[in-house]
Amino acid sequence: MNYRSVAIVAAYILITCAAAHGAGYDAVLEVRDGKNGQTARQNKSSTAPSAMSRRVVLEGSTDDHFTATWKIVRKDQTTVKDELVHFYVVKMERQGQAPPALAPSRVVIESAVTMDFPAGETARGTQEFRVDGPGIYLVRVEVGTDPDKPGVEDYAELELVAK
Amino acid sequence: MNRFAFLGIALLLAATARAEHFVIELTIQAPQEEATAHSDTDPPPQGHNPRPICHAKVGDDLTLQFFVTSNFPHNVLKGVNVRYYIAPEKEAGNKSPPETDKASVTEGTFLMDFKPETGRVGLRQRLHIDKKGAYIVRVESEHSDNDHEHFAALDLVIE
Repeated sequence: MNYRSVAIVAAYILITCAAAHGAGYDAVLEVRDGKNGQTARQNKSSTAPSAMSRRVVLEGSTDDHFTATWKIVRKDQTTVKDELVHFYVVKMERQGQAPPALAPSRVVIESAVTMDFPAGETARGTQEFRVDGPGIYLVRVEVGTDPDKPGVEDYAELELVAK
Repeated sequence: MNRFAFLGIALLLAATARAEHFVIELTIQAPQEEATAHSDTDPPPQGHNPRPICHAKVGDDLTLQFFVTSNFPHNVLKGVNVRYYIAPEKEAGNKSPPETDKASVTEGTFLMDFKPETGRVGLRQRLHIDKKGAYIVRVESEHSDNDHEHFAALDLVIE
């Protein structure tokens, strides 16, 4: 096998691995403050290069009541049993920060749904919340999280800047 | 605390399931008091059990938490709506319904399937209330394909 063949095989493996990344879901997340809103759509797993792209940002007031609406759809043809859909709003130190640890004092709201996901199955949620004060908050819904394999989940997320 | 601490609590609670369609545990935690309500049935709309009462002050840090777990052994309950809210009521302690003409403090819904034993939803939310009065805190099932629905409710008095 010459160097060119090795390079082609290596490229094929990399492409295959990239395609296999993610848990097989579409995720959509919308946050509104009554007047304005922003929508984020599924990203690849947090270890994928696209995770470095800038998050959608919604600016609002600390007095606002925010409404987050999320939807998860199984797009893969396989069935996943007892899957977890995890939604949360957590205060961050700065914009662009990776999802932080969910210390109770920093989490505004958190929910977890467990159900089976055959192909095409859907779960939805709508949650109202108010923020703790001025700051930057990560609003995120994720599915397919595996504690033993960080970064394989599918998710949608945006940043909420409260002033 | 790792990112799955809350989920671990949900898993533990699933093991306490009893013989009902849904097992519900609803808690409000205030600085000085905490109240917990368990599954009740509708009808009647306000259930059979007295509502526990939690007292707090204006602006207190409150934590709303609930878990709804399927305990229906026969099949998956498809497309169940789980609704929750904190809303003003006229008076605490008499099973009054929420005042629908007044804005809720918070509310939300989940649309999901409930698989026997393992189907569940849990939520934890920190909040505060800026106005004195009595509030009903309730989580309930909707469209669960039964002749009755399940809920848990308690009263929250802000002084």
